[in-house]
Amino acid sequence: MTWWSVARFLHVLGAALWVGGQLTVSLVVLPLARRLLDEQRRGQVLTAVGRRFGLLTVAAFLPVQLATGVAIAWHKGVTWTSLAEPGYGRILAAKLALFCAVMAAAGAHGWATGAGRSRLARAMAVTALAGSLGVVLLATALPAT
Amino acid sequence: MPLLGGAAVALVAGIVGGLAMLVDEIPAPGSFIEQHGPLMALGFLGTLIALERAVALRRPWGYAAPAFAATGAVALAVGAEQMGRVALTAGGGWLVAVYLALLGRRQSREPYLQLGGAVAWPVAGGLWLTGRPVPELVVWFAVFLVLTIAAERLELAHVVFLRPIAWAGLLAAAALVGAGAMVSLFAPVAGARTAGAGMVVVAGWLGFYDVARRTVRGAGLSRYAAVCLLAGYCWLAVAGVLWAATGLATGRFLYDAALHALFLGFVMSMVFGHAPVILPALLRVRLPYRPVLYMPLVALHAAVAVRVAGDLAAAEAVRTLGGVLAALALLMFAGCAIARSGHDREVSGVGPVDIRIERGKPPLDAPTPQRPRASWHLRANAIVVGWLALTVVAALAGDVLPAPRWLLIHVFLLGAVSTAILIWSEHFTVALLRVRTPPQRGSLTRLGLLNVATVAVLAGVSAGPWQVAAVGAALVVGVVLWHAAVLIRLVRQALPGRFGHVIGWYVCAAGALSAGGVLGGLLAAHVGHGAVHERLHAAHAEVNLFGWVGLTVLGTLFTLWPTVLRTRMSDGTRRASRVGLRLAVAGLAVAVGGLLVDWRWVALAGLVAYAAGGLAALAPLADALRRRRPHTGASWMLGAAIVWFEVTVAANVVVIATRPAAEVAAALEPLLPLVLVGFVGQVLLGSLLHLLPAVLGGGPARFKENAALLERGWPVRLAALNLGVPLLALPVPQPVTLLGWALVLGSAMAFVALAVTALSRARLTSTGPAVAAEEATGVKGGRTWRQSLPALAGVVVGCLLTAAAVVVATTSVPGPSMVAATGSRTIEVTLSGMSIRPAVIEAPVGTVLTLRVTNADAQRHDLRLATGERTPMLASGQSATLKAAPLGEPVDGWCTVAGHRAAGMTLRIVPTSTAAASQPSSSTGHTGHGTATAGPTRLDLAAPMSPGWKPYDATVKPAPGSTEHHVEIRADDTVIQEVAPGVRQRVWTFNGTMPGPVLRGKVGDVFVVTFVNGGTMGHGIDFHAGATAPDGPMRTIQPGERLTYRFRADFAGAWLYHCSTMPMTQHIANGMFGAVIIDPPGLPKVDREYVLVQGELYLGEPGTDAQVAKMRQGGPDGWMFNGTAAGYDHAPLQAKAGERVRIWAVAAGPSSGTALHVVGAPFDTVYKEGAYMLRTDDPGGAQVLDLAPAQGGFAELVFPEAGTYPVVDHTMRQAEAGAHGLFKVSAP
Repeated sequence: MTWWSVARFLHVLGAALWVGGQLTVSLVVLPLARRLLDEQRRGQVLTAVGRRFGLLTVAAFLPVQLATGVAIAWHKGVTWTSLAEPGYGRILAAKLALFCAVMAAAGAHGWATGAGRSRLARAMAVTALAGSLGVVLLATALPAT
Repeated sequence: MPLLGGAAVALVAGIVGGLAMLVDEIPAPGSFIEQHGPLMALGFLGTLIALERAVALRRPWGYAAPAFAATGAVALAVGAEQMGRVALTAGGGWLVAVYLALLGRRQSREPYLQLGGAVAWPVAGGLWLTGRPVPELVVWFAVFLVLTIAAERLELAHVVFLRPIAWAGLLAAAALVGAGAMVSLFAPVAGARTAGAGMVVVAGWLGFYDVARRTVRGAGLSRYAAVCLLAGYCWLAVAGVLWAATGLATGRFLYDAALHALFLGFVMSMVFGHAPVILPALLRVRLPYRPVLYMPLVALHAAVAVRVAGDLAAAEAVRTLGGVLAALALLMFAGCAIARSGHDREVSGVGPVDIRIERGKPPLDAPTPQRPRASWHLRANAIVVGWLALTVVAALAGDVLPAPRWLLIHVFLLGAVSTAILIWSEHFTVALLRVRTPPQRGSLTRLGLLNVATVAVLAGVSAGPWQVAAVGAALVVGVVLWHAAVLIRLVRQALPGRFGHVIGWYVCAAGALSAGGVLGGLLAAHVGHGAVHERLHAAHAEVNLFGWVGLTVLGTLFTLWPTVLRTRMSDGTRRASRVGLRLAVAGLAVAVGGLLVDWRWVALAGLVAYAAGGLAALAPLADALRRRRPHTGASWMLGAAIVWFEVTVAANVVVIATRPAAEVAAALEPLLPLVLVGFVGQVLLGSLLHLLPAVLGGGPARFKENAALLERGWPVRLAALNLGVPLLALPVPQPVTLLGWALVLGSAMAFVALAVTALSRARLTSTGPAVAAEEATGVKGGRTWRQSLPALAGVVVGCLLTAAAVVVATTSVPGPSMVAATGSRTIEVTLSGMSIRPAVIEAPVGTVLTLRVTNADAQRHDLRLATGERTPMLASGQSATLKAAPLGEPVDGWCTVAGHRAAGMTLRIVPTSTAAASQPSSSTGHTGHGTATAGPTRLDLAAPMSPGWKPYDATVKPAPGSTEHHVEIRADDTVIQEVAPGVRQRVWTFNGTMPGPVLRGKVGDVFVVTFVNGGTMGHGIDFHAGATAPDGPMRTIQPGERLTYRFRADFAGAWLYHCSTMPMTQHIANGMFGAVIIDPPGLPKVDREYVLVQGELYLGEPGTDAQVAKMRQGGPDGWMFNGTAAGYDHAPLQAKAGERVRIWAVAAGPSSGTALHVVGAPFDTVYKEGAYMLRTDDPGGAQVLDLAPAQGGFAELVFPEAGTYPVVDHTMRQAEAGAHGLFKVSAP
């Protein structure tokens, strides 16, 4: 039990909260909101949920993930050149790229919601969800050394 | 409720057992694994069915049936096998009584059928009690479940009002299944085949008459149930085909597929579908419908599909995945049931009756006036589009597929093109002749059969067995002949008209495919090797391409071309058509004949005639072209296709003129892209482009819209396609070829995407005005397809991103290159006669192998390694070198020509131990020289045995009382056995043990041995105890085959039996031997009897060079009593002082005998090779029972006092290398 395990713990916890939060919203909150709330209330609730989640993402999730992630990578001895090497580096690079894509999709979701383009917003939300599952997949594929 | 508990125990135990069979790591009691089948079929399903019947009977005594069944299931699960059998059989008997009572109450037809099914249960139980193995009972289980379920469907869903003839059909089908079971008593294979055929008929009947076919268009529960049922019927049909094809006798993979298609795919799907109806009846608990119920259903069917696919491809991992998924699906369903029912328990009180009424209710849209023809054409074309999409997938997948080139061609031509021809030639015939549409049912049947046949051919050739492919080819021929007959009948019915001549082309094309199909079937069956094979191949390609496809297209163009150009037909069309057809058909027939019998100039003349016919037919088309220039995408595409056709024909003439017939197929290969993409693909795209809008219908506005949609960007697509074609055909560098593929596939995909959009639009509008209205007003209540589109798009984008990331992450991860190169070797590899020599290459880890591959066969082959390296396709006599990466792990290699891998063209490169790698060898030459021996050179016999090791039971049971012994012996060459303390290695076995089972009888007894080859290579069996001509029973049979070996033991003695397949040193030395003991008349009873079969131990993977070399030199690594060196040192044989012990002994060899000796206790009786050497009352004694290889006998002794007595082969070298055991003698 060192400080490195704390960093790993925070990194995993952050990922769990973010992916889990998305899943909860998509699979639990949204269907129930559709069934139980009328059009107007639903809009209000979902907008509020989205705002809060976005705030959480930007204010807590991203800083924690970036900080702990960079720290762990540094601890592992990852360098820019090693990112291109097959194996750990390549998988990590792919994971980072996918993570950036997911963040872009999430950002696009926020923008599209604000701009009233609900279909695009929905597509982007689902993209972000599927992509973040992919990030988790790649994370589990990182060789544990 | 406790009864359901029993069912649940059976379910859980069965699932755990099934999983344990697939995944070694899962711990499970032995009873779970052994009784997996009975637990699921009788324990779980039987209890459920009996319980349901008991509830229907409403009499307390009826509950005894499920009670017995549940008790039996629990007993079976906890390991009380005999009690379980008895209780389960009793449950079955009781169920029959319940049915009889029900029958007395209500006279109707269904209970008879159910009764028939129920009778199968106790019969199976009875057979089981008499000791029949479970695989022989499977047919009876199937009868029980299939008939019961079929009858249940009749009763529950009131399968419409049956005409007597339909009822008779079902009865006949049921009788066929039952007959299969009866036959299986005497001839298991024939029985299973019969039952399989019956199942196909039952599936067809149910699929046709079941109300589910209509309720599937409903909503909610009725739709869900109908989906379950229909999917289940599909699996029943698949299972039936598998049963009929395999007879349940072929290998464990196909057996597994046949069983699980039925019991998982069909039966479990039925359970899923009926649970919402039956659970309320059983538990008074409501299981309300929720869409979430689809989740386990989809999982189940995906699981069965994955599993069956894994089985058919013999891919262990895929099969395991399917099994795990199936377990997951069952758990998910159970979870849903518990969650839902627990939730709504208070609201119960809704009996099954309500739901039954709902299900029985005729669907609202039943009396729709016959659906317009456009609609079935529409749907049929969806199949074509599906095949096209698959073609793209196959092209992209490339080398991942087992036979890439072949699959690509056949998915496209046999899948997409043939389906399209079947649909459109009939459609045009009807339209041109102005006759009434032939019965739609027939057309759909032909279409369905053709697609089934296509799938069979694709599966059979790429994954084997070839029989499946041959059956598929036969089916194709049958369908196309039927199609031709229908066309001819239509011509006869029609009044003479202007367009009748076109039909002649279609009929001739069908004739061509029937010839081509026969040739293809012969190719799949590997009839004819070498040059004959190549000529068959050439003829097959020519007749199918120029006959089936070419004639159809030419015929169609007479009318299609003017239509596309929007001009009138030329006047000379009819004459041109008649002349062209005669020339083309005659020419093609001559050409194919010439190719087959290797008359090159005849073939050439035929082909020239065909080309002339084609030109004659094209004359009126050119005439039309003069009148009106092409102006639409469709017309340009068709025009370009015709040009490519002419180019191909001309090139073909040149090829035939310059090459002997045997090389034609190879020389035509570069032309394939021209034909496939330039001609066939473009004709297909062009016609679809022109015809789809018309087919989609929906009024002039919709027509225009669709046409505009489909033609979007056609000049670019046209240019891309026609630029890509020559790039594919010409010998240009690799990147340019890739560019060609990108152009062609991009063009094709663009069309597929547009077509799918148009099709789905048409579907959307046809779902009714309600949806449209809803959409128009923007009401967001219902879930329309459109609304879920963004989510769908999101999923797709997300998955694509993930897939891209995974590809980036995993590509070129260096598996082998992590291994440092330590040396290099060059090895000659020869491809010939459906084998690769050497079949196994051994080299130290890190060796860089260079394979010089030579094709010594008269037909084409190539070699591909699993690591990706491959040679080009090698013609006869050609060579290529292949450099492999430094050797790290075992690497498989094979020939990628369709079917050759299954026929045995495989290679395995095995790394030897790292110790050997320290001496890099750079020898050039054949293998078999100089590879260092792997493994320990000296066995450590004092080392502990691995935990969990069980010694071979040396005690011999007395001969059974009967005079006829039925035995099943299954050869298996994949078993791992502990052959010496701590040394586990692969052995080849009879019934999974080395030595095989001991057979014992008396003089005159008859042994009926069913010998099944469950292994991966040919095996045979030879019983020394019998007197029969070796030709038949001792012949080598191939994996999956079985034979019956019947012999009468006329002579007493201890006999050897062994595998009779050459090289016998390997088969015997690797473990395929056992003992037959025939008691001499008047053999006195003794206190204990043991058998010791002595064999030689050769360490190493069976069949590898190093191991075989040791056998040849007669230098075993050890000697074994009963399959383990020094095994009985670690698990001593037991006796008591003063007891008379008889030791039977057989020396299995293959090269050394034995001098059996017990230290400290002389023998007072010795019997060897049919005669007493020494009798008990003789004054003398004996110290050794000496046996030459394959001799047998026994010795008797009385241990004087308690102690530990070694039993050894007194050839001390052999004793010290493992022919050594202990008798632990305790005080009396």
